[in-house]
Amino acid sequence: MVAAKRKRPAQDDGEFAGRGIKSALRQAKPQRLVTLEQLEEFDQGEEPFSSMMDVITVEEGEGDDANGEDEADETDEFDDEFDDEFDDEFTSEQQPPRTEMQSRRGPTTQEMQQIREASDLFKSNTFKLKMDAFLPTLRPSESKKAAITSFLHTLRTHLLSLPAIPSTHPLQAQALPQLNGVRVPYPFPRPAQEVNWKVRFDPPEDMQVIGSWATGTAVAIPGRSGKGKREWGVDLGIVMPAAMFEKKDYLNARVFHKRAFYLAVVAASLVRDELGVDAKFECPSGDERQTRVVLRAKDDPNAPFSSSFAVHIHLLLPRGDAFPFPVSHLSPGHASFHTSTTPSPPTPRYNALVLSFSLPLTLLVAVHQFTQDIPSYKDALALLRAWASRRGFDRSGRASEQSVLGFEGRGAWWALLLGGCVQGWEEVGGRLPGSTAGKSRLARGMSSYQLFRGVLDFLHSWDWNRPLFMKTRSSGQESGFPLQEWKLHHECIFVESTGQSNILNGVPRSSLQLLQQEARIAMKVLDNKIEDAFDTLFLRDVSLPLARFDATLRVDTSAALPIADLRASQLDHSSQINALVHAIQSATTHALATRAKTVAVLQTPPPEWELTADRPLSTATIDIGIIFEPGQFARLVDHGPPADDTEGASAFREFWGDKSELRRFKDGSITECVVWDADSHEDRTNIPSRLVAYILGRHFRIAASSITLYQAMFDPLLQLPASAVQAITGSSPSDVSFRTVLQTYDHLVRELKAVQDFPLSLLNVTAAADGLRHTSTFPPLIVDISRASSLPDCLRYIPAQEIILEFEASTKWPDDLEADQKIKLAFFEEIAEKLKQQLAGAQVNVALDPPPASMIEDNCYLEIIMPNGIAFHARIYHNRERTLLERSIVDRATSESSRKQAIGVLQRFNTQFVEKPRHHAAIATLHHKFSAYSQTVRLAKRWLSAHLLACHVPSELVELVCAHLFLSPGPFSPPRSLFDAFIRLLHLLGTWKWTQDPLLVPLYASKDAENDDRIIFPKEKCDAALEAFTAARSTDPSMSSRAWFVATEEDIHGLAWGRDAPSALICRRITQLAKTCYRYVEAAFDANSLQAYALFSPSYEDYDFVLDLESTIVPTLYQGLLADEEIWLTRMKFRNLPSQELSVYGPAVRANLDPADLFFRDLQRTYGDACVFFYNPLGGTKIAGIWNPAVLKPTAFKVLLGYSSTPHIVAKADGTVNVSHNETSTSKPLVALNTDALLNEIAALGCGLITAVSTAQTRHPASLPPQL
Amino acid sequence: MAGKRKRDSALQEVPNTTTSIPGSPSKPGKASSPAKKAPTGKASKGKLPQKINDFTLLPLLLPAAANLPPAVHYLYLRAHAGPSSASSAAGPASAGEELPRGHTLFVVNLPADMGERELRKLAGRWGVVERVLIRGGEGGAESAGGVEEDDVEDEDMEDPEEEEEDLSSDDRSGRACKPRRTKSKDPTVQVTPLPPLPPMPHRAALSAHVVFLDAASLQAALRPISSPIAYDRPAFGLQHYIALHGALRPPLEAVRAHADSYIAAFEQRQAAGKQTGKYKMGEAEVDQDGFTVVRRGGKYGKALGGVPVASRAEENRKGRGRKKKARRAAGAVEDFYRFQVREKKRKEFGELRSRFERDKERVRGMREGGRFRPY
Repeated sequence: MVAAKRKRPAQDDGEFAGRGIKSALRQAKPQRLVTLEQLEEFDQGEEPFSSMMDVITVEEGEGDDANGEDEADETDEFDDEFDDEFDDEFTSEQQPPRTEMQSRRGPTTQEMQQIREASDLFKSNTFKLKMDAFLPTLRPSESKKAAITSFLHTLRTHLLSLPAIPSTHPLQAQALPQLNGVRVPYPFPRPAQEVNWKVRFDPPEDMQVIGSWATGTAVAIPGRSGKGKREWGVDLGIVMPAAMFEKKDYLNARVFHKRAFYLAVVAASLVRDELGVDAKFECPSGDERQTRVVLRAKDDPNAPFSSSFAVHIHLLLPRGDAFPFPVSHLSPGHASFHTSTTPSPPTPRYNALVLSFSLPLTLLVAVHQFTQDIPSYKDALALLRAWASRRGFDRSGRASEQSVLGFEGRGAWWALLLGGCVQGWEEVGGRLPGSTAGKSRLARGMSSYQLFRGVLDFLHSWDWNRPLFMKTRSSGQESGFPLQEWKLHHECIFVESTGQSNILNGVPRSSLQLLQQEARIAMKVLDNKIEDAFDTLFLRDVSLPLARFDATLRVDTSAALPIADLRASQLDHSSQINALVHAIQSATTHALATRAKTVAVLQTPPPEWELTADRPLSTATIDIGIIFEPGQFARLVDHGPPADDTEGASAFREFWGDKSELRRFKDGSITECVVWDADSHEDRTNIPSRLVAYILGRHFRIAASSITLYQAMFDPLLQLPASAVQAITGSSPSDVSFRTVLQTYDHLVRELKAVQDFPLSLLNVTAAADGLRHTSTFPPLIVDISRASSLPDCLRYIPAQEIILEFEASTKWPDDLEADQKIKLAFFEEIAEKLKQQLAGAQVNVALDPPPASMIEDNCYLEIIMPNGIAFHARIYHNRERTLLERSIVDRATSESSRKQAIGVLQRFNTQFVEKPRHHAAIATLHHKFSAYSQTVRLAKRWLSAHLLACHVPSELVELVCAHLFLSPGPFSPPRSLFDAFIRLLHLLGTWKWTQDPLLVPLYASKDAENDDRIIFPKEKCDAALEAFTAARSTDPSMSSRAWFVATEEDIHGLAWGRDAPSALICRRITQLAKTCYRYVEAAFDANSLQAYALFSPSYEDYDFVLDLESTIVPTLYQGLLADEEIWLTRMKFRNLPSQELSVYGPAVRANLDPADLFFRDLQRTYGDACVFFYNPLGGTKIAGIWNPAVLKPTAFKVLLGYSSTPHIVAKADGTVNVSHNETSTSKPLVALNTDALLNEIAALGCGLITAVSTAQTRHPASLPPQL
Repeated sequence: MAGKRKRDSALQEVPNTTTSIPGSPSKPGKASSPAKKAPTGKASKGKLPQKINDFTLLPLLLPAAANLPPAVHYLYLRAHAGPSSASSAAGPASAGEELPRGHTLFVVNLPADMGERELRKLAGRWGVVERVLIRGGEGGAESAGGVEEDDVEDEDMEDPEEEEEDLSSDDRSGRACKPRRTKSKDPTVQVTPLPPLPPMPHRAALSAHVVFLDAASLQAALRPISSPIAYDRPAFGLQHYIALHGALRPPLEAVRAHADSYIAAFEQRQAAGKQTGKYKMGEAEVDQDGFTVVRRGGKYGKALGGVPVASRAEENRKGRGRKKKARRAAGAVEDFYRFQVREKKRKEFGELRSRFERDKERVRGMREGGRFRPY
């Protein structure tokens, strides 16, 4: 791609010469397009509005996607519109299936071009096709356009004929009858009683369509499905007569007050008239001076235009020489507010705003020129805005959503950025490195995709500390302000071609950094051949801060009392809130320093208000999002300046307050510093949030109660109850970590290798257990063996960690699978004897797998309970078994049934001894690479088990799905905290269409990738995996195997973990559940009422039956969510009673004994055909089940039905009960599932475990479904 | 007959080990007699048929469990009509045993916890039971099953030379995994079995054969009855699982004894096999007709018996075949004739086009699946 791009500019000139002629020819036909001259003309001319309208109508005629859209159905508009356009697209090209002959026919030129274009000029076929389908949905349909155009004509006639109002005192003006009760939206500071200037209304000089609507670049980006209504904004500019203003009106906000009155008059006239519209005031940026009127069609059938439009009325000032104020006095460094302090502080924002009142007319010309010069400009701009909109930078058409601070209503920025990237940038005083910036790398003839990509490239590679200037059209004529002045007063500088207005006025640097970060990610996505870039960039909505940022804080600023004096900046910002928000932004950015990649402040725009109402208070709640810098965010110490730098040290102390202290460090330096403490390794992730909360408290007196720290919310879910930990380990809960088990494992390995006089020497010990790779929900606890026998039953569970022993090869193993197992038994026995001597206090046993395990299968292991109570299960890996199994499979002499058996055994052998250790090793490295990975997996397992699904999803599969979040983070950077990772997991599970898409996890490629690299699935393997997926789905459409197709490079068939489980039924449940949870998170976040536990509380309502277990004997009870501590606390009161009387498990320490789990597995094995069971292995006290709907229906009697049946009785119409088996009828006798007997049988199988069985009927006796 | 009786008594012992577990809950079966008077649910209507197809319905009253009232389970009984030798139906344990036509009862829809002991006890009310054979549950012989019993019984099973005195393996169906006795007939090396495991519940709704001593008992069994028979169920549940956990961890001495004796027996068998086998290392195997037996195998293939020939699979694994193909391909000139070039171009374009079409199809499919909506 890069090479292609480099080549392009070289051809440029020639190509462009040709293009120039062509476009000149086109412009010669005036009815087709409006030339620039014409545009210039109507800027000052007599009938500009109507000619502007012509632009619109002419372009309508050009629209290539004309479709007669039915306007009746507005509610489901997006779909309809979409369907129409899409169907057109495809049905028109629908061809009968190609025959062999046809597919070999030569290509037509058109076809050739189409296909080449898709793969050369665009990223890929799919990208192009999707783009073609997507873009029309962003634009209004022709019929709608016509309606709004005619409305605009009416409006124009109406507004231009408004009568004048003579001069009045600003406060008395409120009572004027012409205002009809409309409140004048005077901005801060309000005019005082004693002012000696007057407001008046002169009829508008002119009215113009401005902004994106005028240039035909208007887009409305659909929000997330079902969220928000999208609308196209039509911007109307009313040019106020310059005569209304005096030369000095730009001072002390007089211009804004006069403008506010003018706006009120305009608004009042719109109410009075029968235009069929609702008028309201709105102020999307929160800057009161930018208040405008918004018109929407009334909700009735005769509405003048579709409800998917909003007309915004802006008040403008004439541009150029007619501008009423001296431009030079509005440079960034001038003070336009005269305050008591001398000299008055400069008011850069204020000045820029006054200047910007004439800007739209200038921009209109510029953007129009771009659309003419660059063929794909409109498409590329639509792509750019769609991309930005998904990231909260451009709210085009999604008025009520949050946006990144500073980026509200900056439509012009995108248009100019794109244009500038093609046109190249002005070189200011040689400061710009001419080679790259001055000359553009983009050519005019590039495709929309190439332009889009070029802009992203520029966004992320440009150093935004440097000012950026658009090319001035008339060079030599210096009208701009001095560079130095820009630099002093504006954070980000992007000056348009007149040199007077900064398009990024008021955008904080960190917001731009976020944009830059997003562009960097987008470039990576586009460079990745595997990922579906289109969906990731344009369809996936990433605006939910919880998923987007590593840490999110919601701050209620209404009670803030800033220490520093914000009054001066308040005048510049026009409102206290705005000034405060900007101050918060800069303070947090400064405080986090290198911990954060970016800090973003997100703001919800203030709501619209009625014309007759007072301006509402600005919304006081903001969100602060932080993206962590890996390796830095969790540091404990922030270093300040050295002690001898008095000035720096005092500033540091001033900033940090009591937290700062003087310390001497190991290297001998004595510096100011701030030290943070963390309870555990995991807790260190929370330092940035705590730090921000501290700074907010210190500088803005925002109480901790007004700040919601979202990040730490899930942490308690991964902790065991303190009382249980205390009872089991005899130490404090903060000591619980995976380090203990890993140390114990190392110790065991040393001991095993030290076993003397063993016939074969031990080559390898490999771990293959989630407890040894930081991914078990809870770290295995050490057990105080001396007290273990007196523990209550509900604290008795000891998980065992699986390890694999590999001995040196030997020819002495028998060539018989069954005998091999016996040899293993003998080995184990010998090791057990020796280990017992080596490890005093250890408990070593030879154990067998429970039935049904076959004789030729590896069916025994060594159980070692170490003296500290950590248990291991060691198995022997004997490579020859595979050869023997493979041989017996290919051997023709083998009978069919034993071949089947051997295939099954071989599968399990491979899983156990090849895939498990390999997976273990890969996951263990992942833990070290991504600090949040381990916690995410643990929480994911907890979530699945809380919803009774964990038993159906292999642990390894959960790990792989979580790994996908980190290795292919899509539109994000890899998550750095548990919170965002988990929210993204919910989104992934909820939106993953597993029926159509495999999940490719580049688990093994990640090994030597750098920290921030995108890890890419190798291309050939990816193709192979996709092929395997297609094959799997076509041979097994019901998805009885691999419903979740999760492939890694080592397992492109996805067979290692997803072969049998989860079933399609379980997958559907998970999808549904994740979707619901994600929706809850979204809604609760908006309402600020997120409860972590709500995501983890299961509902037992929709199960057919629920078995209640005796909770006191469930040995994992303490792992349960919100487990009742009383159960074990009461049992521990009587420690000195003989344990046998209180315990059913007796005094022995037993590993992996969980009768509830064993019972659950027996149920699955025994009744798997008739029902599906659900159970929470982490302290669940209920087993739930649903009947298989297929067996609930009465079926013909068969000998081997597979479930307990009863003869089916049919109630006849006459009320008599009869058996369906009728001698006279020819139908076969029917039988039905004998649910009563079955439940009874289940209850008997679980006697001692089950306390009660409840069915849907007993729970809701009222709503009895027809019983079979 | 004496051998059989011995075996029966051994069978009786197995369940005893379960029930004798300390602290086992009182057997619910005893409490079933009052419940018998008030059978609940649909069964109380008494309108049930007494036959379904040619099966006699036998209602079985399950005692109350947990908070559930007693329930009625149905067994379906029929006189055995399949082949008189149960070479297949009852699994390897019963191989070769007779299922005499006249006095064998075929039972289907067994409760999951009904083992041999319970079935024997149940059938005891009709006459003297000679044998009970429960169809192996786990082995995978669970085709959907036709209406006819014969369909079921025709399942092919291998026929291992299992001997009757094999005690440990010849019990319940669920215990197919139990370490089995050696196949050796030499009485000198006996395999010491591991301690027995408690019985497991089998898969629901299995079938069984009950062989009575006389035909009259069979007739008695097939006589329809009106009120359900109380079922005396074995103990499972919590104590079962705890016992199982213990039983799966046998004492080290037992493990040692078992492993050593097994290996000794295995070696003896190997040695015996070598002696009796026709195959001698380095010599070709000659069959009865004097032909040399040739077997698939190779260097690492089958080692015993016959003259090994290299197999195709072996060949491919070594990649010999591929090399040959590559050599052949290298000689050809592919773009010598103009038509070849044209053909190639056309083919390339065809591929390009088909990919394009496929992508288009996919995008359309996505849209139909609601994929185009932002999410």
